[in-house]
Amino acid sequence: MTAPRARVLAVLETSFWVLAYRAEIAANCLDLFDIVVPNAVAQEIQARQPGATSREYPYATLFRHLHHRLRTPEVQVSPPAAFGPGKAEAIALAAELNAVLLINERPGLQYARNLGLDVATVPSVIVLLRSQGVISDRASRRKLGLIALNTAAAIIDEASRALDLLSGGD
Amino acid sequence: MRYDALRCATLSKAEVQRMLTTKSIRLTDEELADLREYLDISGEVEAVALKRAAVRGIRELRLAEAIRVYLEERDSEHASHIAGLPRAQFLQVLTDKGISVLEGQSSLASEMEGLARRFGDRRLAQAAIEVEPVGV
Repeated sequence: MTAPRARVLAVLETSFWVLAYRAEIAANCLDLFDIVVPNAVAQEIQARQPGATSREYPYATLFRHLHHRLRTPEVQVSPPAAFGPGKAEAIALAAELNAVLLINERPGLQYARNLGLDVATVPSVIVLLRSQGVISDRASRRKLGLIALNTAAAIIDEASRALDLLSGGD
Repeated sequence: MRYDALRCATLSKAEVQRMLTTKSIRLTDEELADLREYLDISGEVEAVALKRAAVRGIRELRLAEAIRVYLEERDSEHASHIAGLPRAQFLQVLTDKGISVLEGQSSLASEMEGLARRFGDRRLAQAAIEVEPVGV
């Protein structure tokens, strides 16, 4: 029996969850990260379209089912004014908690990097899942393929080369 | 919505009519023939079909404009407001349409380096050093 893996503290941003759902890694992330969900991010993920309130998108359904495995923030933060509520609270919270920021949009990601935060996008988490032995080489390439249309080709190429390097060490 | 439904139930037909605004449109013979053909096929009432088409059309126009603005600005908050959708749903629509939501210069190597440090993952750290963005 293997010892439980030590999880790393991370703060979730809406764009990461939507793309992680598409890449089918949202649940896998719970094996690696102890995830804090800012209140504004939870609201953005669960928000329903005016006039179609009975319809729940699948990424929101998964979030609802996994909500008990996710943490709510215990500290108050002052979000930067440059962004919308979800992104702003996620950046401020990651800075406050010294946590990894899980985000998948360039403007917020770049801002967070400039603050010196550790950030992770869906492609880098796919590579991490492979490196940590959570998923196989084949599964990691398939998951990368699922987001290929939604990610710059250069990033997909780079992630593929990282997987090549990791498989060389098997 | 529930409140509106309850409120409407207590209003007279005349009061409800006063809450609605009438808009008129002019159609060419060809457009009118198209409409009549659709009404013949569907059996819908003209006013209902026209209203539905207008509402659906406005949604589509808002979404098209939102996508155009998103591709220009890469600001999902602003664009989702134009689309009239919650931000997460707008991001989902973008991904469904095959639109890239992670653009710009890659930061993958530095992300991997940070993750390797946090997880104490030497193999990932080595891969982060060796993987280089194309063209660098």
